[in-house]
Amino acid sequence: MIKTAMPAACRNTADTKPLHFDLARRGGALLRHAVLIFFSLIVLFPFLWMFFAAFKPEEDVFLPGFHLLPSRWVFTNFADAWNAAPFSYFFRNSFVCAAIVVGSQLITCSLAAYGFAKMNFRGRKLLFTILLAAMMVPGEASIIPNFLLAKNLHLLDTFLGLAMPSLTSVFGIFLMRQSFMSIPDDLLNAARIDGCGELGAFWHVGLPCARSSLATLCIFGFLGSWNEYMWPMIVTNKNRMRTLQIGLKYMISPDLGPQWPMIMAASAMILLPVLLLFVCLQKYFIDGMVHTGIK
Amino acid sequence: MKKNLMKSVLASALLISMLAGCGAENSGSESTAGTVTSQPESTAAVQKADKIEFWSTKEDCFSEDTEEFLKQTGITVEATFMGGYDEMVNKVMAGIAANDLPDIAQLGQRHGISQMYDSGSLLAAEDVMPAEIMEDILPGFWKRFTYQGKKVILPFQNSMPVLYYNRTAFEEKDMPVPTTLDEVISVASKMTEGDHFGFSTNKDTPWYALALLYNSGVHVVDEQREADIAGEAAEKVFAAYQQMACADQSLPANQHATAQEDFTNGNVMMLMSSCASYAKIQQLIADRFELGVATFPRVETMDIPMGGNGLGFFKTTPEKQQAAVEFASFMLEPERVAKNTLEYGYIPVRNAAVETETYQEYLKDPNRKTVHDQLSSLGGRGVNPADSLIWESVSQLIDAAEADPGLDIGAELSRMQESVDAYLQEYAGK
Repeated sequence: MIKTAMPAACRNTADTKPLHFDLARRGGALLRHAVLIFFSLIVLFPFLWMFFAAFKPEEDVFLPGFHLLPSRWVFTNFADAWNAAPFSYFFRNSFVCAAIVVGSQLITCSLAAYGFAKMNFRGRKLLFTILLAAMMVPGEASIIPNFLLAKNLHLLDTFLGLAMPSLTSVFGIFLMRQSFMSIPDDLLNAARIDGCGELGAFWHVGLPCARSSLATLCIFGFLGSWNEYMWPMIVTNKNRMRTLQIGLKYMISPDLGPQWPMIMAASAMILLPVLLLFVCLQKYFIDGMVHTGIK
Repeated sequence: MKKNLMKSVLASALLISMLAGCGAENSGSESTAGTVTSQPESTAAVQKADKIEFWSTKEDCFSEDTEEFLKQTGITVEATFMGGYDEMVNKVMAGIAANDLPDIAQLGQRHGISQMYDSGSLLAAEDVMPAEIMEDILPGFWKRFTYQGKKVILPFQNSMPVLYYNRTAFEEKDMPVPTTLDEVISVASKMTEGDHFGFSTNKDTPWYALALLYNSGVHVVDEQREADIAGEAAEKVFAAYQQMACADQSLPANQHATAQEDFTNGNVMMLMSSCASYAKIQQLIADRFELGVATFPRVETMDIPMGGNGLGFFKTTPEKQQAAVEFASFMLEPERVAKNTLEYGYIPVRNAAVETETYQEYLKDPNRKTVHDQLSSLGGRGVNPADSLIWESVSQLIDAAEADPGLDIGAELSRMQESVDAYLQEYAGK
């Protein structure tokens, strides 16, 4: 078979790229991936350590030297951790409390933020400044006043009592306000021209444009509620109303110290819903950044 | 659109109000254990109390014991785990503010007892417990739990600091077991080799430092409720930490959080820790080396502080108070106390418990015998309002001394003394 050279005009331009350029491009991608994988492993390592420690016998958890894998696998740590405290109640309570907090913050923070961002009224800036100043007050300073309030409202040992201090969030208002401020007024005006009132513009235009911030608020609200320890400890006296972080405390004796494998096993179980939430909401972060509505 | 929005808002409000109502445990009749209340509670108050509320720092809340108590007396003990000693103090303080306290609680000896008693919510144990039990409590326990001349807390699960050591390593090096602070410093230096450190203390570092201060004759807070910390004797104690961590490198600086694990892994040769950890430490060591227990190092004298917790009685109805006393007496039955000691390593609080066969069997272990012999040195100082401040200040000074070889310990102690004095004066003025 006689091979003839193709005319220059017909050659695929990709085939004409110099070899060194292609190697440099691939080498660069390889290096980027290598760096990303390296730092990912650094971030992942504590979780890996936690996971494998959950399967170790207690005397092997802090062995000198590097021993990531268990010398012998102890699968009963998870069962022991589950039985050490009423975790079925704790999971239920943490989920319910987190749902209340997230739901409430989505409503209150988005409404307040829309007002601060898109509505003009006297004293708006001053009011927002006062709101921001409230962020300076540490949570611990308000625990006792909140407790007295919960007690007087008969909210001790209730889900609403657990969620009460977090029903709204100044940080959430700030976050949503920033998001609403980035929405062009033209979009809202277009909605008003189409017959929407202010709430309608908020519902049909504002909220869809702020999906990524809403997803972020969800995550922060969920995490804040899920990780809360001091407030649930103060506001509950009954085991049936306690939450997960208090459950971890069952494995730390004040005189005998922590039972590390059980703590790691319980921590692994507690971490799973958080990971699931991130996986579910991750796409909304990207989605919100990509789409705009101006035509 | 408007209708849909209204529906959503109403549904949310309904959901929140439903959730507020559900899941409430006895929300209509919350615990009023801290007060004598009016109807309908007063109607129930004239009947024999069949239920008491107990806040515990033990994870299982003594479930076996409370079940047996129920079988014997018909009294239900509603026991709730409240976390560690610090969490318990927070809970009780919140409870005092809200007038919502249990009938009886396990209170750590570290801090908060003075404030609880001064609030009027805590009863003195000597006013409620039978004399027969009070007189049987070993005298050394009352030093800590006496406040304003009254025995306020009933000793329960108590411990002393001791010196654990790696007997195998000591025998290999033909090293004598230290009995004084100077000997500890010297031996720690000799036992330090490569990655192995000679000495450390468990994570409740202030407790051991306070023990060394008391052994040095330092009062910390004297009888007149004035700070008495600064001075040569106290400087020597903190200088020891500084020397071992910085100069000799025989103490892993500020690594107390995992000191117990480092010791049981054979990385640390001597560990100051609680005698209550004896069983746990044995379990963690497994067969790596042989465990030895030595008495706490002497300085000028032996004046060992007590650790652990006691039972506190809060103001409640007479019937519940009687039931709480009955429960406390049950928990302090000699055999039960001896069993507690055997299972963990707590020291027996009653003479009658020492005389039981269970405890005598326990003493056949030479390590446990050493702890028992140290009982004669049990002392320390009574609770005082500045306990929390002292604990924090000592902890910070140890951290600083271990990190900074040039730290002026005398100046730091003077500052500590001034702050404790200022606090006590302010507290007295309230």
